Amino acid sequence: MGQQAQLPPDISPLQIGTRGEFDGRSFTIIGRVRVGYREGTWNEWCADFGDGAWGWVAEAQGFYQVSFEVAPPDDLPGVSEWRAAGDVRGYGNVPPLIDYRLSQGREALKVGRSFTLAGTTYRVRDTKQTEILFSEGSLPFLAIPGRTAISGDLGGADRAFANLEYSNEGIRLFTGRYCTFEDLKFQDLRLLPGWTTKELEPTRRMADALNCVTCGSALQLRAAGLSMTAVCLSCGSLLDTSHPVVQLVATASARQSVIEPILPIGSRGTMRGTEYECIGFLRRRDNYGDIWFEYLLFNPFAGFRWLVTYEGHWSFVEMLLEEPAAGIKEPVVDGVAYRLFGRGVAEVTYVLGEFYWQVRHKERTEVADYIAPPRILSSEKYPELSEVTWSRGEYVAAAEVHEAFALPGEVPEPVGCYLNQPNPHLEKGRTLRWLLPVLAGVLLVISLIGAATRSNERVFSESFVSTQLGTNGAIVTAPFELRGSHAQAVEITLAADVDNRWMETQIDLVNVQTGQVEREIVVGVDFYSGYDDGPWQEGSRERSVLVPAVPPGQYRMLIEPSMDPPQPDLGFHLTLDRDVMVWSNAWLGVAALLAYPFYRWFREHSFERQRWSMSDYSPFASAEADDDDD
Amino acid sequence: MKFKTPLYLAYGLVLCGYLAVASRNGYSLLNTMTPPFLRTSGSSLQHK
Repeated sequence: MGQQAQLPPDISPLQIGTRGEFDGRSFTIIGRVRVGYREGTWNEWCADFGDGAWGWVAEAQGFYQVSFEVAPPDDLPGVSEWRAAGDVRGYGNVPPLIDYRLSQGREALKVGRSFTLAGTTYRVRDTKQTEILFSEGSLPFLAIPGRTAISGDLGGADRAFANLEYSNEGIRLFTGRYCTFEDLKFQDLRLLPGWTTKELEPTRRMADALNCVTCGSALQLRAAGLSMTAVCLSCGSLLDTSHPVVQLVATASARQSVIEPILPIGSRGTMRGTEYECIGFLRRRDNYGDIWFEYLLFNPFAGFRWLVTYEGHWSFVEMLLEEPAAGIKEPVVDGVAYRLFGRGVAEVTYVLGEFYWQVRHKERTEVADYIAPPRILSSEKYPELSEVTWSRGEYVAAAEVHEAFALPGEVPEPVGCYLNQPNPHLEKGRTLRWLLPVLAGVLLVISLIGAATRSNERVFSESFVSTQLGTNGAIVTAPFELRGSHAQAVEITLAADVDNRWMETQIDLVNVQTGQVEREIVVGVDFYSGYDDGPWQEGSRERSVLVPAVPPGQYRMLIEPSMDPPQPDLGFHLTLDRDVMVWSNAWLGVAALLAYPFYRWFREHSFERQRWSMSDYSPFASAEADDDDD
Repeated sequence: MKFKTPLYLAYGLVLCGYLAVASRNGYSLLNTMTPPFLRTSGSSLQHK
């Protein structure tokens, strides 16, 4: 174990002496290595797990990778060859194979390549050439500044993590897991001015040590040690802050006119229970010309988050610790399946503040968005970094953002529909999913009980000849009784042997006690047939009519038949059934119940169509194409 | 939603209640909804 030089301070909440817990095992941090690569730096904390066991807690971009060194299996590229050569593990030695080993690592650790290690499948997520910058505390090896390696981060399911390193010392493998700050139950953390203490201006902040190389102004780094790029607030120069010596990336002239971000750099707000500081602002444009804004939020304990806004819509976004499972078009994260919404190329068109990667003006990334409203899943591929990052966001109301950051003025109304905006009609219609079946069930039960308790009693059945008219020009029937204590529906059925003619009967239902005509009914039949390019027929020789709500009592019927063409001896038959079921009520009831849910479904569907009209992968597109074909 | 759900529930229950009464007394929802000048108690024939 060696004692190394002191590092420049940063805003990491960890320090030597910090204790934590991983998979139920306690550990204490005993040392740190600051590792650099072309685009930035990160901390590797050496953790003593007791009994001589040690592991590494890598800290980057606000999350952690806990890993332990294991012997690399022989089937990994180059391992058997390395072992056969004698496993030159003499730390500090510089064998002549250094360049060969590095090129071997670059070849083996191509992004996207899969490895199976101890039954777990990993995919290479990120490969870079690393260099030890500084170290402090006790380390299990001599961390010589300048030691170079090819390092590949591998990710697997359930946050599985592995790191493969090809260097002059051979091939090293570390396996473990991605963790959040909360997972590791840290104690004895470093006091962070402005976060865990009230003083806003720390005495040990890296901000005091950095100055703009163009104008000399002090750089206000808010995520010191994590920020790789910062924009000088005085002169607008874009600066590389990834290494102790600040370097100029672009002068202010390369930038565009001044934009006032909605969330000022340095403003703080509490989102989802955690206080964040806005440290960066990006304006981006895709190849379709759409422009949106991204605010980088930072909390030294929770890490980085994003607030992304487009036309008044907001999403709160976090980086994913593992790649989504399943396919390219429908990735699954935490059991939620996302649907591909769009692909494109996004370009950075404005930069303000500081960032944890080397952001560049006009930097281009290949982006893909997948949605499961209110969630959104995005992948960004940085061609220069050979890296794909995944992030997950959730739609937040503009009012929530304004309240969180105490923004002045009225909350602007979002424009149009956004890709992960929750469907407001879906929420409104959610209760209907159980309420409609319940009400339909009640209606069905009522209808069945109603049908079962109807008497369906035939109280009149008689045949007539159309010529047996009385003196009043009508056929008068014998009296019949509609029994019961309440009004009831009756059904009158006319049957006549008509052939190529119609017959109609006008029936007065007369209450015998009062002499009043209670109902006037018309019921008729017609039947036609012939031969016209084949036999045909239409009409019916029997028809019924329902007469609703007839009060009980003694009744007669006065029947006036008519027909065309006339047939003096045409016979017909009339029946009357009392207390029958009115089935049309049930069907109309169902229709009346469905009216509002149908309206809700229509609104919900219309919103989804509007949402997907912005996508090249709309599920409605094929249906519309089919409609066009029809 | 907080307002509309009870409203729809009340609407559904009133509808079911009406249908229960209508079933007993032989009322016809169709007849009730049809304007008086369009009501007919019988079939209309296609006179040829």
